[in-house]
Amino acid sequence: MERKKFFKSIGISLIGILFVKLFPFRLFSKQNVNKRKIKVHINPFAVKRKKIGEKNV
Amino acid sequence: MSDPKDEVQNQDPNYWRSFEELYSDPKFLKEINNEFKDGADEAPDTSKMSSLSRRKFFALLGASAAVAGAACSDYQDRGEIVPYKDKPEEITIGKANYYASTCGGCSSACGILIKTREGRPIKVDGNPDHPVSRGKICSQGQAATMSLYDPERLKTPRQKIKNRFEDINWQQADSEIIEALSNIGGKEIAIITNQIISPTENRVLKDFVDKYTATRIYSFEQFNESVRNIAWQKCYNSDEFPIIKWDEAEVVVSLDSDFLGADYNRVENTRLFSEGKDVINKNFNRLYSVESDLSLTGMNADYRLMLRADAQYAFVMGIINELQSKNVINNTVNASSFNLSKLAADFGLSEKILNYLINDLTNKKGKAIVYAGNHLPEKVHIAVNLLNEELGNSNLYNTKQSRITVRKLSSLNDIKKLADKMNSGNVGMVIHYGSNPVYNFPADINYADAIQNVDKVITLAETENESANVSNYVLPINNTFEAWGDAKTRTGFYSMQQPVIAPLYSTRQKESIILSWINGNSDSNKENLYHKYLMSNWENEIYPTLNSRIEFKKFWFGALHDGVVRSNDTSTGNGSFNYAALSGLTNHQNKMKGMTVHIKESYSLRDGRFANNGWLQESPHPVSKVTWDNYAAISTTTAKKINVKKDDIIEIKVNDRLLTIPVFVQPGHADDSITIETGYGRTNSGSVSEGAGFNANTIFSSSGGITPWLYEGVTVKKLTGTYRLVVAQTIYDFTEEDKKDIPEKRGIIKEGTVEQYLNDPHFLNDKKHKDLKSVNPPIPYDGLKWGMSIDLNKCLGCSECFVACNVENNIPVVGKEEVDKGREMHWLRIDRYYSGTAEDPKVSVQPMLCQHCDQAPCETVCPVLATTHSADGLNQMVYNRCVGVRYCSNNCPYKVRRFNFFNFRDSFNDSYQESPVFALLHNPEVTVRSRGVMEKCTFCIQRIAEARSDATRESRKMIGEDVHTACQDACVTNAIHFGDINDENGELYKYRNHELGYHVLEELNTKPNVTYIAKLRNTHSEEA
Repeated sequence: MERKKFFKSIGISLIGILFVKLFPFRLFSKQNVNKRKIKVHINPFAVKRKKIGEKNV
Repeated sequence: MSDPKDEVQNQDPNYWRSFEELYSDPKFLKEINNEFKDGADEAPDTSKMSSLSRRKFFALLGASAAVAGAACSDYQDRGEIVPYKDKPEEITIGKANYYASTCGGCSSACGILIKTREGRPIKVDGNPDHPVSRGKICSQGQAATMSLYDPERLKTPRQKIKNRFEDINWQQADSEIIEALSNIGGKEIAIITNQIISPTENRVLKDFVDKYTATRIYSFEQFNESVRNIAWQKCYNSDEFPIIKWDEAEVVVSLDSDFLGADYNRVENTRLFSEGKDVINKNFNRLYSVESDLSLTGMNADYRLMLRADAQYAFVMGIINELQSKNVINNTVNASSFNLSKLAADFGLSEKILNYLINDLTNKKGKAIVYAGNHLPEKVHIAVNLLNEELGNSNLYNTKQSRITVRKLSSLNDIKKLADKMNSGNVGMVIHYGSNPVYNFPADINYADAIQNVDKVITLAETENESANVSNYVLPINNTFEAWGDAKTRTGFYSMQQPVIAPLYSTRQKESIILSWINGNSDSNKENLYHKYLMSNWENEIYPTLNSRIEFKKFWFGALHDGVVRSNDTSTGNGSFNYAALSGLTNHQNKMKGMTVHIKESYSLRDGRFANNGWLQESPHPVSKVTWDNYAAISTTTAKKINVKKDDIIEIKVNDRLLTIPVFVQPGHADDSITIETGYGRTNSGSVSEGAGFNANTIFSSSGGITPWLYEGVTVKKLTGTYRLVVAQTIYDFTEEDKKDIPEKRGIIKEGTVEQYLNDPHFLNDKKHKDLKSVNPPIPYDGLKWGMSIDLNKCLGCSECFVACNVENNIPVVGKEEVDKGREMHWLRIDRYYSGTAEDPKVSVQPMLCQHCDQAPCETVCPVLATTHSADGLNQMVYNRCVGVRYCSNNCPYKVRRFNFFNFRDSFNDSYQESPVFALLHNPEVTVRSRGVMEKCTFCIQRIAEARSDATRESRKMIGEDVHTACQDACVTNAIHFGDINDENGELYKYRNHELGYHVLEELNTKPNVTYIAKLRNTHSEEA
């Protein structure tokens, strides 16, 4: 009887964890307001330097 | 008989940093015994804890862990790492590219070098080839990348419909505006700009005027040199005040001028002036500062006198009278009413210093310069011009190069007339062309009300601002890093500006917007519209004047590569002095009326255009060390008179305008005088600037003052309530026990005079600690060993190094509340010490950073060995080992370790710094630290590592000169040197072993590797 109770409580807790994982946390998780990806493009007309000046690393 | 004040000054100095320290305030004494400030490290109150049983506690713990595991198991993907399929030719992964360009922060147009990684700009330094900046840039230029990646930038055009802004597209905006322009009728089109420095941009505006003939252009800068230039025009019949050869001046007399701090052209001024503070070549100039507030220039003066601004005319005329009576200069003007002795008695000035000043001006004729502040009235500038002319100081006016104005600024009269026209309904359209007149215009013009009478108001801006809020259309424009341009500020060269990144959002270059309106077609705007126009202007108008021997395309690439194009135009010279201008000088001393108020440009935020930049907001004021706010600075005597202390709120009445602002009692401020910096109190300008400070522009007026920046007859009333001003200085103070020994043992600041040094170069030796014993055997560093020296003679305390460090090392902004708890994250701080009396102190500054001690007390106490010592002498920090016990910070005597109490990127301003675009700002070479780890200066280990890998690749030995730290690169005066302390041929060696070199807290035997060169004041021999 004790063993039955034990496995019953394990089963309920696993279902509970699954439920909690699926619903409340996702519901209340911080939404990234701006999920927009920022694309970085180099301007093709810009001219880069070969020498960077005095000892700039 | 000696001046009692001088006696106090000449005694062994007792250094203090605040009034609480000076007067041993009991609350302060209690606070300094704590490592951390109140609220930062509170112990929990056990009596309030719940009486939970142990069994229940573990049950809850288990359940919580299970739930947390469930919650955290769904780990969100932070993003994709996508390798290049076709790698752009310009990019080598892991290597930076550098682009020359021009800073758009102000009208100085300094040349810059932009460092990019994988196509995104991450660091700005000066362009070494640029004749003005010579490789240096101010703190606003350094922090400019934050403005590029500001998440609150405008992204799309917006239109106000029924009092709400809605996003629209460019076609719609252009079509409606072009239609409105075509149907303007007889009404005026007003374009309001900042100072125009670009010849090509000026041509665009001219083309617009040609197309829409009802257009008038108003060019306005809140802080400008108009008064100085008007005086110059009267004296020399020349439009532009000359560039001063500060490096050749042996004596500089600054009359309420902050030429080293907030004034125009400070990068060049500072660089040239610091050449006269050279301990290696023993070249020392002498600076006299006669000023109302304690400015950055005044902090570095050898002699300083406090004098309210409205008495400056009497002062300079007193000098003229004195020199005329001694036949040093010709009797060209009647100044008999002005007597320096009487002035000294009236305003408590030191007669001894006045005598020194007169003698120096007499003996250094032709090698001295007298320079007045921009805010002083015209007659002061005329008198100063006369003085310089008569003393032969016009030698120090640069005749090889002169300033050029592409478009003259509009006068305040023009602005007033515009407002009148608006009020009478004669203006059909106003275009705010990158400007913010609602915030910056004089308050008496009531611009915000006048604009309600205009049919169409269009604002072209990068971010929301006060002017955008009252507009019909708000059009987003490109940031400086996304824009093409050129600049002409002087004879002899042009500066080039190129975009290093394509626009991040749907923004356009403001010149392109104007061009598409000129074309009259909303589809005419192409991405390279202005680029083509710029090239065409250069090819047809500018290139032919340069007599270049190479074809235009090659020339153009060369111009963009260098960032500077030399031109053939030469200086127009200055002409001879027009003595008729002296008719404006009266022989009558005005009575002082009430108090004066001086409105000044902020050191960090300028006229407010940088208000939403967190790095600059958090940058402590160089003098007061206040962050995140402005205040009314007053003297101790004035504070007693009106019965106020720091944080009390006062109401200042200027004519009929009121300003409510908190007080800051500033040591060294002139009596009956108030100084307020603008740039604060912004509204609708971004979440960072919201709530920061008070809008001083409410008392900025076009009339009713001595000048628009200086007012007399001001009344002050104390109000109830206080406002907490956060000072980032008094955090790490000494206990009472230590303070007793400070003058003898704790030689944190060591100073002397030039005279002392020249007589005995080793005068500091008796103050040095020798033969210090240690339980640890010394570690031999036979190879390369890193060290740094900081020359306190050249260090002005300007904080450029500080901002550069923040940018280079991904240092987060923490916000005002956290700074108040001592949790600011700056790896480098500039400590400011006063000595002498509270009314008339001397000031010393000292940059303080991790000293990378050979026997570091922090290394021995870390329980997890998160802080170690490298073979080349660096004190290293291993972030992923650190568990946050903070023992290292506790043990550090320099208090340079910074602890991440929070993930500040998340906690500050609702995760403002966690925004995806903000992440582009980070330097990929430097770890972004999270909560719970200690951090500190690393001597830019990422730069050392890069130099080492370059040396390895090139099969050569690395030398100290291969590495420049970020602070060293940024320091305009070259006060910081970094390199190998074992290299006798290296630049660092002579500073490390200089007779004036010392270590801070040397007696603790931590063996620091930062050497400070003691400051020498160039005072007269009687005071040695």
